[in-house]
Amino acid sequence: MADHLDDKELLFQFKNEATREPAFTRIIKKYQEKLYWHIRRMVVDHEDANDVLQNMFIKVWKNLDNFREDSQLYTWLYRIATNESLSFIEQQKKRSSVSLSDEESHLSNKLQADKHFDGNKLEWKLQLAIQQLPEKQRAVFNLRYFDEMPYEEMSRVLETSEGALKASYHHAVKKIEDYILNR
Amino acid sequence: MVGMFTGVYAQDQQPDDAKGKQKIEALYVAYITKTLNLNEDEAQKFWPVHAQFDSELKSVKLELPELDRQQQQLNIKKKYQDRFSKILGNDRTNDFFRKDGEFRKKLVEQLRNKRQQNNPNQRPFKRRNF
Amino acid sequence: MQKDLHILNELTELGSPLAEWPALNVFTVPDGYFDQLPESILSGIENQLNTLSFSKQAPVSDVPEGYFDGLADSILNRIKNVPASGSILTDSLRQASVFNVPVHYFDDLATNILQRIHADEETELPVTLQSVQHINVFTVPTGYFESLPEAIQQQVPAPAKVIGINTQRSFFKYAMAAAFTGLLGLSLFTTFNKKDDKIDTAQSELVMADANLILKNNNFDQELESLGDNDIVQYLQSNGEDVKAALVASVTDEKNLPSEEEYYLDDQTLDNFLNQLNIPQTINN
Repeated sequence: MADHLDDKELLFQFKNEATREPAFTRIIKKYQEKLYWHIRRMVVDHEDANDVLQNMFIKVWKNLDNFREDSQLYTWLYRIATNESLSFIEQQKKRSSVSLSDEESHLSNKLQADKHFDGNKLEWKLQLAIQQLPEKQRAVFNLRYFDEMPYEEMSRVLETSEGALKASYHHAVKKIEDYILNR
Repeated sequence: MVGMFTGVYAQDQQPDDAKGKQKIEALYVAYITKTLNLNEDEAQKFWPVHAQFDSELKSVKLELPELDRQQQQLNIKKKYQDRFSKILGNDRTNDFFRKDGEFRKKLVEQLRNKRQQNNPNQRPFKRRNF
Repeated sequence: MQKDLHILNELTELGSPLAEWPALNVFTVPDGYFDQLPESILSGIENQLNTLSFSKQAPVSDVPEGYFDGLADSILNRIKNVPASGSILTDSLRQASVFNVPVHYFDDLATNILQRIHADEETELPVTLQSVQHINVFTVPTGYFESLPEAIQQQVPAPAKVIGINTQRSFFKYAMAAAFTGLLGLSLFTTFNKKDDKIDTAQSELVMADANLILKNNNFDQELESLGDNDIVQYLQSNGEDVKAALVASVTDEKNLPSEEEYYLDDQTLDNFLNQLNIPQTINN
């Protein structure tokens, strides 16, 4: 199952009812991991990430016809994934009616509940630090630091100016550094 | 009392068992949907879960000692009580279990009425409302 | 204010009453406005330049020494060098103290800003962060990604044409039902998980369609009456019901009492009911 089909081809096949389902499956296979990890880093818990990811792909199915192809498919998918993650986090906040600071510790708790959590390891400290950031800034940081996404693309994913994103990332790095050094 | 219900079976043979079963199931869905006032969204969520509920209930072996059978069925109902509550809320889930029993009663009544009709010795008694 | 002769002539030719009207300036400015204007413009510019700086700590390396000090003067100078335009604003500005702006200041401004942007593009990652950048702490259950596409595909509403489970006999029902699915929103093809083997999806869909019909036609009672005994018995038994016991119970069930309306409608009703109960007459006394 060589994945040489480029996105244009996939979109074309999707638009044709006869080949819609196989095209959709290929799209899922092509992007599922990248999108999953992006979502997972936002919501921490695997079950939650799975829910968000599946809901997100259902949205994709329903809206792919409207995708205007003026940006990359990849960007569009990332945007939906990010929005779904942010909505999910909002819902969680409301459901447990916790205050902002409690919400931060809510995700921290989820991190610490992970089987492999090791508070002494730097990579886990980093995760704890990331959860301290407000969720939008978290998205910026994750996209840049882990996914190494160019700002131009990020500005389309997050619908924010490049300048603002750069500033946000810059501050995020500082905050995280502070957190790690001082805990 | 039991005697008056014998001998009726031969007169009412249905050619297609499956059709009858299907109709009763449809009546059940209609009854529950209407008496619980399920809206579209709730119906969409509720019926698939109910299908699982139903199939689990039916998997309980009927030959078991009576109380064991009832206990198993009760356990299943309790298990689904939670799942139904997520869709309908606690009160309406309670209603559901009540209505579920009501439907059976309706069927039994209908059965009784039918047999009385077929047995002219007994005076007919009809319920008229839905 | 005296109107320009050309303008006056033009107005006269146009036959406009404006030619006659005095050219008065109705607007007023606060006292001393123009005197302090150059200064306020300059401080505005300085504020703008300050907000453009991305990092207060970044060295201001590509700006000449004393740049900001001389900026105010430079700007006014430039304004001063603009030829007379007859505008009150620039005329009065010219009379104020002048600012100096480097020759290509405005030309280079865009480039300078962009350079500063690019300088910040690669936010320097501290070494600690660099060291863990490519470590993934999270794990997924084995086989998760392999089974994911199918799991998603199952939840997606499939187009009606793709489903090939239509049999000759049930085709009509499907067509009918399709017209009525709107009633309950019990969409034929999404209500049930296609791959759930324990539940006969096709059968369930027919049931849903029938239910929709009953609700639409409001003929529950009719349909109930049309049921055959055998079917009822089988249904009840398959649900674990002891039919005989249930029949007995139903006679004495309170809910089976005739309703008030029925009492009034039919004298016999109560008699009938009592007869069935076989309640000894003595109790009625």
